[in-house]
Amino acid sequence: MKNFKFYLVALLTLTVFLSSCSDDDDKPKGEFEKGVFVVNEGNFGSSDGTISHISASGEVTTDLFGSVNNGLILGDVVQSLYVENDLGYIVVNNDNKVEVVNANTFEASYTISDLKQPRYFITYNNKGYLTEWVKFGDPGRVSIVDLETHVVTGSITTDFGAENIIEENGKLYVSNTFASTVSVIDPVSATVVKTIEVENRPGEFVIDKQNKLWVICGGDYGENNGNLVQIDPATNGVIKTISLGIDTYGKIAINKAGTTLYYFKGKSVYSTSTTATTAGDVLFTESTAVDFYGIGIDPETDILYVADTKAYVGGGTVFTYTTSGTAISSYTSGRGPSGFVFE
Amino acid sequence: MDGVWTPENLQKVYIKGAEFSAHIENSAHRIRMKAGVSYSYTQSLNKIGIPAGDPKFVDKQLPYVPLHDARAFVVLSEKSGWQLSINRSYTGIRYSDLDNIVSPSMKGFQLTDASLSKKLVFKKWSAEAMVGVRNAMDIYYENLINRAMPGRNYLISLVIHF
Repeated sequence: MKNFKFYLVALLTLTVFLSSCSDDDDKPKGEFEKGVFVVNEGNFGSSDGTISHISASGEVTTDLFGSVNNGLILGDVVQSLYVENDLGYIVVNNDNKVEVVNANTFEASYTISDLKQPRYFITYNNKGYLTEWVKFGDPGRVSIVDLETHVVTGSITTDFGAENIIEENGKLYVSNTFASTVSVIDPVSATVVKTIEVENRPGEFVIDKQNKLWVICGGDYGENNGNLVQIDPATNGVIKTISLGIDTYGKIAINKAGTTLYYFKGKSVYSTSTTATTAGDVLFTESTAVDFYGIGIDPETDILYVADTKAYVGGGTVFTYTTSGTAISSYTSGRGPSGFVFE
Repeated sequence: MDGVWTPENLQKVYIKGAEFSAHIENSAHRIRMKAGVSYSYTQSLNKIGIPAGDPKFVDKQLPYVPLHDARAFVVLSEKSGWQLSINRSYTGIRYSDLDNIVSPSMKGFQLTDASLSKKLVFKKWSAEAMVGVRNAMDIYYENLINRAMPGRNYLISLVIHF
């Protein structure tokens, strides 16, 4: 009898060992045609960057790519998103790739891989142009992507830290963030036709009402030496430089009318008129924010979106304001929100 | 781009928990059995908002601390030197951030390891041969977020004492 008990205990113990269980995943949520995409960098090294979505009615969908593509992860440091012709080009910086998706469904389409510290992507005349830092100590470049075959067909060396890229007047403008220059590229000859000296750490571009180009130069941390530089695309000369008296992240937005520039430091958003010669003041300070990291203005509704990272401890917050600085609403985002793409 | 970072400790965390462990030993015929279980419950909650006053991250479990953690083992030893041991562990869901939402998180997982060994004793020397399998159920799991751990893997060892 004692032996029987012993084997029974042993058998029960083994049964407990060998049982197993499984967990259920979140369900996909459908299509994402209207609203704003939020680029969430994620935490460096955690491969938890995502694209989230705020619908026109204010409904938030987290991790579009993962929820549609069976839990696939986008990767490490989701740097930027560019939407064109129903395709979304998602630049994943630390995984050195561009993940291309159907912009309406977010189903994965194809991947451009073997890149070197990719930053921003645009398309122009049926070609893709991707900025890459390449590596520290080497000048950055713009890689040309054949959108039919999905391969890199060539590259144009610019300057150190090839960052943001924009097309205006048939030319491509690239801010070289470590070189304090802007490279002007002729896409027909695929060569740099001019290098414009700007201020320290040039970042994002916007185009104003007069079709002049603005680049925000963030300046150096703690040095309060940020600048706004206005460039004339007709001559590729600098029209004026406005000293900001602060240093910023090198991110900028312009209102629907194309007359006022918006940028930020800490949890304050500043605004400066395109006709001004000196920097404007703080437009608003969001007391419940920790640290802003991205800004955008919806070109249709003129609503200002600003992203708060919450120090990366978890999901961030997106605050919406009018362009005159009145708070509208707030939404949750993924981890490390850094930019917006409007549809 | 102005990447100047300073790590910051959370200012206030409440930790409470309970641990339990037990084992039994028994023998019958030529077989000796030892089996045991242990379990721990650890609640580590952040108490100060980020920023202070914001309730979003308050009373959330700290990243990478599982609420539930359990182990169990059984070892069967036979007089002639054979030994079979099986280990099973359960690690509960761990969050990678203070949101404590299910995705992204490291899901709870159960690991099973097993090994069979035999002691060999000769006049001048002795040896112990062992074959083992780790993650015997070949489950997918992550110790760090989005970093897959190995599936089923095997282990063979021979230790000679002389």
